[in-house]
Amino acid sequence: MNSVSLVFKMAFRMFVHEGNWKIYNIFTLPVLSITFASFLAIASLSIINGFDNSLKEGLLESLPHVRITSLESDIADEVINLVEQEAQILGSASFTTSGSYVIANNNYAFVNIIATSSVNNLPSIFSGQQVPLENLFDVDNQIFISSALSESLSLEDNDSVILYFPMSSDSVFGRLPRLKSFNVQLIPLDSLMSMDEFLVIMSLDTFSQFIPSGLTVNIVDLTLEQPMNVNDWNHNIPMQFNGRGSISYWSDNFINLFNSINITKSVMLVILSVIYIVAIFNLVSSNLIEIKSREKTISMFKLLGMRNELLISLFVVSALFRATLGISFGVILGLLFSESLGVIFNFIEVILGGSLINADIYGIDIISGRLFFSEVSKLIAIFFCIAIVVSYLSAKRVTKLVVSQVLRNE
Amino acid sequence: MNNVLSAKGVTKLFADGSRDIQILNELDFDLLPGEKVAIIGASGSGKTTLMQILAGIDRPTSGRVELFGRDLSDYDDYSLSKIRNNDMGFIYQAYHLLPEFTVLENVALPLMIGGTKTREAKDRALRILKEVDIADRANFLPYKLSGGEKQRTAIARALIINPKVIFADEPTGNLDYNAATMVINQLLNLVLDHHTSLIMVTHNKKVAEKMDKILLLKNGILEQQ
Repeated sequence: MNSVSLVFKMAFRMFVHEGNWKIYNIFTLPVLSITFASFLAIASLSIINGFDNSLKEGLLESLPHVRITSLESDIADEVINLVEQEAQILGSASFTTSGSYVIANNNYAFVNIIATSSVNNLPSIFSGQQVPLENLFDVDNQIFISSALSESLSLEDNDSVILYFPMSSDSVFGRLPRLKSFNVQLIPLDSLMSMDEFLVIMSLDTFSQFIPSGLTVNIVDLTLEQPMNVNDWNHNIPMQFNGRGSISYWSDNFINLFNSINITKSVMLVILSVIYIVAIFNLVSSNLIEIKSREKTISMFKLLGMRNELLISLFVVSALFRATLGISFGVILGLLFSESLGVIFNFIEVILGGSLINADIYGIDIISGRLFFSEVSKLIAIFFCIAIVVSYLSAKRVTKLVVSQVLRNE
Repeated sequence: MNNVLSAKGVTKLFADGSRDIQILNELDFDLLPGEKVAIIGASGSGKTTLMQILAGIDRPTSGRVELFGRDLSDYDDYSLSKIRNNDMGFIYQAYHLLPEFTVLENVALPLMIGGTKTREAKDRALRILKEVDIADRANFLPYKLSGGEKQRTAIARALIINPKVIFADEPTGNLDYNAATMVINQLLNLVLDHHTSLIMVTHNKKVAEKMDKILLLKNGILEQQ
């Protein structure tokens, strides 16, 4: 215990340059570079988490958290009971089909259902099957498509297309036909809103050729108290009910988006680790410089009977003081940045005179910083582990010191 | 009486490019308990090298050095550290005080490294600082001390463990005449009080004359004066 306190005391005195205390002695290049790297890591984590969170919150306001789609109305009650065992349900809304249309972009077409709420009788639109666009179309019946889409598909009025449904097997609509022919009717662009310029519309009669006539689809949407947690428990509930119905969660609909955010986060952390490695190299070089500049002191320590292990500990602790200072300042700056990210965001937008995020694309126009204790503590732990390892490896240099050579001319 | 230290047939070669330079040539040396020996010689004659070999800091090319009757080459790093901490004191021309520590802490350091409790180590350090007349500087950092005071602090640090032998390499080299006289007199008195043997490398003939024995290192061999 005595030697531990001695090591800490000596290392601290060496770190603060007792008797010659100057701010530039403390905030040396390695400390500043570790501060910078730690700050960047925390700030980037805060931005990407904030973006992820804002996006999710925006989606959760406009999307049902859980959707039950079935041909049998009693499936919904069964599923609701299962969901209630896992999460608190704030509210629900049920719908039945009353019409349909197809909406398409450059890559995919979606058969959408117009359904009427059983509560207020208002129509709502639900996405249906996804169809690869290159497999669309021959003509038999009529469909309406926007002129923008017709250009991209090189289609004109009365052209023939074949609508192809890849899922010919089980779906909520039963067994769908794989191919169906249509006559194309163009919709003038000026009659559409910009977001609908790739619209395809078909009548309920046309659509009914894909699903058995007279079939009613029941849709129940649930709103949850804590929708963010669905992935923690949704694996406990079956996704399909023997072709009678299915359950989907809000996160499933954007799984690619959230996966890409996670990939971005991982890539960002890899890039930041490179910056941290540079900072760590600075720490190593400063340790070696420290050992070199204190060769005579180290030699004297050895002559006073200090063992190599104690000497190594001394320089490890001394290096860790520098690393701790750098990491602490970096984390504090990162936390401050995270807290004031919204203000910084607004400020940059005012300076640049425009918005940094396109609300039309992402559904959000501002990001608030967001950090999770577990992520930050994991990051700090990793930083410390790396600092301890490199400090130890560089401090081992003291054992190679040849006292007789250092003190030969003294 | 058993020797504190003895060297038999010690030779030391240094490589200089492709050829070897012989610094010590089958040299013999004995040190009795409480004996004070001065090693003198021209610059580059190998005085410091000899002292380092006798202290186990450097190893001879051939020959053997026995410390308390045991061959130094038999000691591992741990044992050597322990012996240095318990039985050897070192005093250098450049003092080598720790600049971040007070005079009291510098002197207490060997005891603290050896595991003595801080309070006890500081009490003993204060007592020995009184013996070298710088107790009033106990809480000063080294940069505030004069050269003489620094060297007296170094002497106190060397003596605090009651070593069996002290190695002093030009202890007065950085001091003016008056300071040097005062420091040497204090060192010799303390060595006498503590029954410690002393090996001192020096250029200063007046200092050397105060020792029990003067050895001249010339051509790698010691000659008694």
